[in-house]
Parts: sequence; structure tokens; C-alpha cells
Amino acid sequence: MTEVTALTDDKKALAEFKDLVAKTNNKNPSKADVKALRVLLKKHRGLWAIAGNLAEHAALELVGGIDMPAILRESLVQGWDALRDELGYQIAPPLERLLIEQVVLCWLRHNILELQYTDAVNKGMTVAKGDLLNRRLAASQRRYLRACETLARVRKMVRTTPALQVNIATAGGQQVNVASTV
Amino acid sequence: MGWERRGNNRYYYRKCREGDRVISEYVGSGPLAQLASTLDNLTRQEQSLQREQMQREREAIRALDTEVDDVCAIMRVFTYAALLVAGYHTHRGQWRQKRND
Repeated sequence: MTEVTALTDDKKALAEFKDLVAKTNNKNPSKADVKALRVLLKKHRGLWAIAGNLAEHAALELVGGIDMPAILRESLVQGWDALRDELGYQIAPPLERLLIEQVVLCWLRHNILELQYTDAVNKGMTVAKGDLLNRRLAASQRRYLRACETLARVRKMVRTTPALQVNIATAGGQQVNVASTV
Repeated sequence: MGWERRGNNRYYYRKCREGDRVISEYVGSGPLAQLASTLDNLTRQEQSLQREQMQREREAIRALDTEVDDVCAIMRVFTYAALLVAGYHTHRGQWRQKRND
């Protein structure tokens, strides 16, 4: 968890990432910018695992932060694991794993909101609360669909361009090129 | 609030808004007006508590949504970084790979 905290708290590193991404995202990026981005990716060892942990941490907070029966909580956790497996998490390359984590997190948020909405309907709610939950539900659905779309798009790109590789720095400092096998 | 003195007597008026204007609605005087005033006070207190509760719920929902949005934003940056390093770029929202002419 310290790594997660270190990265998310390191606003400067994140800002640097965003800045370089913005600079590199054009048809003809300068070699220096691409190199700098590559160096930054290398510098943050285990970035994929950290991002995955970050999503898991957020998911745990989502499940733990809502007052609900233990059985519902457990079914959400089981559903979260099942969805991750169904999306091929175990055999997915690191980039796709990251996107699967994102899909699962968005699915979890959407489901929790749906449970809250159902609970509020059963108990009776004010117009203002109904409006708030409806808007949040619509937003969470959009977020979830966007995450699914990104995963599908990246998978399609990986299929059509087998050259897409992600360099991962292992704990021992060794660089591993992970070509997608999807 | 709502009580007005006319001569030696006090009368209870209920205030309500109609468009831009505030209307005074005469309720009465004496014990019945006192009862109406107490009930109105209780209703106002209940509405205030409901508003506070709603505000707390809204903040709790927003806090969780913000957390999910933050994680998604970080993941988006990492995904972009990986794809850009692999030779992709976005063109009008679509990912394209640079041609090696």
C-alpha cells in the first residue's frame, strides 16, 4: 500500500506523466518526448501492479463504505472476482489487466448505486433524492460503458498489431517485453 | 416568527411565497394559533433535518464517485502512456498507429 500512496501522493510525478502524454499524443511526437515517457514508465517500477492495487483499494473502500447486509457485500465481492476472471484477467497482458481492473471498479460502483437506488425505492424517497440517485446512476453507467469500450478497443488494437508490447520493469530491475497473447 | 401584534392582541400569520411575492396567510389567535405555530415550527425543523441528511448523502455519494473518477483518470494516463510509447496516437478521439513509410 505504501507504493500506491507514494504514487498517488506524488502529484509532481503524475503531472509529469500527464504533461508528457499530452506532448507525445500527436502524429509526429519528438523522439525526446517519447524517450522521456519511456524513461518515466521504467522509473515507476511495477506501475501496472500499483495501478491495479489502486483500483482494488478503491473497490474495497466502495464495498466497505456502504451500509449493507453482509450477504450483499459478499455477493458483490464474489461478483467482482467472477467478472475479473470472465474478462480473462489471469491470462491478460499488463495493459489489459489494468483496463480490466478499471472495468471491474466501474461495474462495482454502478452495482452499489443500483442497490442504493432499490433500497431507497423500497423505503420511499424524496424527489430530490430520486433525482440525485438517477443522475449518479446515469453517470456511473456511462463510466462503466466507457471502461468496457476502452478495453475492447485496446484488445482490438492488440489483435491487429501484434507489435504492441509493453515494457515492464521487474522487481529485479530486468526489463521484460510482454507481447500480447490475446 | 409569524406572530404579529394588532392592538393588544397577537395573531399568527403563515408566510408563503407566491412567485416573487411573500403572502401572509391569516391563521388565527389564541391556543389554536399557538398549536398551528408549534406544528409549523416542527415541520420546519423536520425539513431542515431532511435537507442536512440529503446533503450528507450527496457528499458521501460524491466522495465515492470522485474516488472512482480519480482512479480512472490515473489509469487513463497510464494507458495513454503505454500506447503512446508503443507508437500510437489519438486522432479526433481515435487511436491510430504511426505508419512506417
